[in-house]
Amino acid sequence: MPTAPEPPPVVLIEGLTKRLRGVLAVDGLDLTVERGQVVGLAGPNGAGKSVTLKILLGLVRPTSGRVELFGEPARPGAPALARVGALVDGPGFVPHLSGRVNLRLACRLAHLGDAELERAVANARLGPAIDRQYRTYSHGMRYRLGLAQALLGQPELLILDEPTTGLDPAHIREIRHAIADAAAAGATVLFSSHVLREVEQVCTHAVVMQQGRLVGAGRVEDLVHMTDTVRLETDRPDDAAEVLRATDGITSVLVDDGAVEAQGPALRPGDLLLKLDAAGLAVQGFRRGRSLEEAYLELVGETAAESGPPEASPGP
Amino acid sequence: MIWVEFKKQWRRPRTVITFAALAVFSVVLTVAISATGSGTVERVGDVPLLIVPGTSGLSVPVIALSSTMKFFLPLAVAIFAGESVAGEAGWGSLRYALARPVSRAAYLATKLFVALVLSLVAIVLIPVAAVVAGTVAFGWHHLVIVNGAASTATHQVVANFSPGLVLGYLGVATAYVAAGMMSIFAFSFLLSTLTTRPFVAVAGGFGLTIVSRVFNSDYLPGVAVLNPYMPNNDVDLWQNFFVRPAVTSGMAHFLVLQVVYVVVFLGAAWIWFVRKDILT
Repeated sequence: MPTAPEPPPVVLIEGLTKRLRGVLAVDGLDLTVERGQVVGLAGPNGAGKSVTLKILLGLVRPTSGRVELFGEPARPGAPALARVGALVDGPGFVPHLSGRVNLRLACRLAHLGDAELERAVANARLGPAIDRQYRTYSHGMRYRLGLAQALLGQPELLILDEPTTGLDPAHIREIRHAIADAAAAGATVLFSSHVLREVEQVCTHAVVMQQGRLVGAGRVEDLVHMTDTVRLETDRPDDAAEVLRATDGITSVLVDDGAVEAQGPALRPGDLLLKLDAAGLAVQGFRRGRSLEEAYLELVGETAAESGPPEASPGP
Repeated sequence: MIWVEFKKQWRRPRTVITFAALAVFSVVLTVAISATGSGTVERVGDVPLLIVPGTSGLSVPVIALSSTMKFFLPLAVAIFAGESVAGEAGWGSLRYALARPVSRAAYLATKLFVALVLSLVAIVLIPVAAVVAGTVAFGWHHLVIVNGAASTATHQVVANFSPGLVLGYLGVATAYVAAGMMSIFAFSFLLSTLTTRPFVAVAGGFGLTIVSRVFNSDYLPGVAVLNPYMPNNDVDLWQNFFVRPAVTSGMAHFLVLQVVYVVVFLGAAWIWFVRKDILT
């Protein structure tokens, strides 16, 4: 019995290059996003994340390379764009019309009915403000409306470029939940962020870009070495490091900033804790894996991280 | 898509204000004529055409069209054309309008059509409002044209047009003025695809009117050779309908010139826009 042909990946990028005003914004990028994945695109400012997403949306033409959406070439006006919802560079609406009228116009362009409009209005969660002029909206309200528009018609692929820029923690949480809900409903999500904590929290996969190139990609667990690294906090890190070095199955031990990071292929965290306890060392903090920020710093190097801060999380 | 574009534009404060200002202009002009100029002769434009305003309401649209065609109407047209694409870019909604299964050419054609309709409404609004306001103030009578060459107090009546004929002339004149605005329209529209700041497109389009006016043989006799190729200078030739004998020379040349400008500017806009990277 012949097997059904495998469906094409949702996003396929091969050897993508984009030259913008003489600068290589994207330089030989390869990236595949499969159905159902939630992919976080991380990297310092100017890494080419935003341009890559705009190429997928047909807003920017690639200089060279192959870019496909659902197996079709991504180009301006590509039919596959009907299956894509987007929030890029912040929301953009007609300022003198209300949120509801703006959504109605978007519905009309997408040939969606009143039921979908009502769903979007509910999604935006703006209350009575939905009938106020868009120009009167706060930053957070604009993002809510932008997200509601991106979710119109329940797109199969959601492309979000820096969807949390300048938002307060409560709004960031909303965006994160929206991404998780869309993913739970079966959507594939590709979003960029320079706030690594977000990428870590909601993504199944992460892609790290730097200067237009891909410097790391994979499952988030693999990137942060979830299975082979533990991080311990203790008031006597050097003593703890000594104990860990003498432990079987541990290949490297690092003391960093008052914390001890142990790595090994056959790591058993419970045993480690017992051992440290027996040595009279109190463990104040314990975590499996590194943070994505640490993995990221290793990938892009400290210099690049300095020139473009990877973590610029809002709030105190 | 066209319906959506109209919906975006027609309740814009800018659209409403422009239309209101054009309509109010005709009313203010009527009031001004009845207050000061009624019964005296009024020089219209550069051509030796003197009309007696108070005698017929139909004098008002002739004066209104003459006094708006070189400043107010080019500005209104530059606003509608210049705002069209750049305004959307300024709102930040252009990227969402284009990240859809719609061709750039179709989107541009929609924008062009809507801006064109708004511009034509603005142009037609002037004579229509002026006919209404003028008729209310001065009644529906024959339009008296006096000899413009004379500078004495006593003018010789050279023509006496029936209201129907004046309306016919006005219709053709309005169409001619509208056609004469198309170079400004197309240039503003081109700029609108180039910039993300609508003000630049509007100012640039209106700037072309000023350039056209500067390269006028009246101001700069040395560049008189360029005068026939200026995009907006000969927009006043319709006034020659009202002299006797009526003169139509130069009008065909001007209309052909408009076609050339429109093809060049809109062609450039299309070539640029379908290839443009939308980065903002």
